[in-house]
Amino acid sequence: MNVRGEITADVATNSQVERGREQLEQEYDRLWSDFGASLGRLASSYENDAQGREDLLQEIRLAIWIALPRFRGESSLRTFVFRIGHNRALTHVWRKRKTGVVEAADELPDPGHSPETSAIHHADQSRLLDAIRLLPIPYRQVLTLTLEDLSHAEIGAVLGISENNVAVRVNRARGLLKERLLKERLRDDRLGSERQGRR
Amino acid sequence: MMNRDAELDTWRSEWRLHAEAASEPGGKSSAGLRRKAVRQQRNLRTRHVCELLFAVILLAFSAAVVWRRPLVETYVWAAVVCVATIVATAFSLWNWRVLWSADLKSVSDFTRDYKKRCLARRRDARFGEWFLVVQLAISAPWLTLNYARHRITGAAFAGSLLMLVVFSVGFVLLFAHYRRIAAKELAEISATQAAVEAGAANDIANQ
Repeated sequence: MNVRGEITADVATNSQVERGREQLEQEYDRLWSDFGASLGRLASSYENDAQGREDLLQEIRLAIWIALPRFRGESSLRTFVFRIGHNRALTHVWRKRKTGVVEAADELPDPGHSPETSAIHHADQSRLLDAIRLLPIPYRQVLTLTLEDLSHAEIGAVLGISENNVAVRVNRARGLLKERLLKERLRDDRLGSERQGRR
Repeated sequence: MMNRDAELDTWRSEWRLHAEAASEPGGKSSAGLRRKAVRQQRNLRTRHVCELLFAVILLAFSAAVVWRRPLVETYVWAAVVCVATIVATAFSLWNWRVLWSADLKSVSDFTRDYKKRCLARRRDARFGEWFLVVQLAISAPWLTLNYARHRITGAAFAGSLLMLVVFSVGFVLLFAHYRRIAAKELAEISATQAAVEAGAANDIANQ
């Protein structure tokens, strides 16, 4: 091949790479606009600290960016995105220095907060989100995926369990969530009546 | 009593509303997020290239030592260094490959693989500890012998011993840290898996 031919071949290869890159960037942007909010909610269900949540989202973004060129359409895009999201979130939770912080939050009273400020805090925060965060991880996963409108088959594909197993877990998760919400409501009522009693 | 699906729908709309504020990705544009992801990937790649370079430098250093001092003990030392460097680099490459390809797997497969990685990391730390013992068993007598044969001065002998102690303590702490992290992560994984088993046992008991 002469010099001119080599240059033409180089330019062609570079433009292919450039086109591939542009296509990948477009796919990533589209994917993020479709699933960004869902992934944000997913991160919220694992992490109640704002900085931790941002870190987790960042990990998920990176993992999606790295995995996207390898996505061959064997599963749906939703399955692909939620698999990465949950896998990264699990890694984030397992690697966290302090263990059981979120799980223990329900049982331990915060010494720095009076009942009044706790009541305000609880009123400000989403009761549902708090209750979901307190669920054991496997139940949290099926419930958040259900709330994101995934079918049992899709949830099964994300989690790697059978549809029957998904149904069982969803039922159990709903029962646990109802218990938690009731407990929260009773606690709020008790705090409210204590405040009124003092006045 | 509320219908089950109506209950789910209520939760669904609440979930979307309440979690919406938390889900905002910092108000950043997708192009900005993409750039950040690309930068992070580049940083990770750079870190791995640095690891590989360090391995190459170690191999070259051991070869240079053998070339300068072609003695039996130097050959043994160089062989140990080469084997350990190759094993450590191979583990790092495997870990890197598994780490990112595992993300595409289902959560249960990912959990199983992650557990394997934790066990491998713990094994790696144990290997490192044994390797350190072997290194010390070679280095300390070798230095002493050289000092006894007047091949090195007292100051060089003391300096080398001090360096050996400092490095050994550093590595012992590092390996202990790795083992602690692996043990903690294994405990977390077991707790996640146990939650499912406990739920299943509870369901059976309630039937």
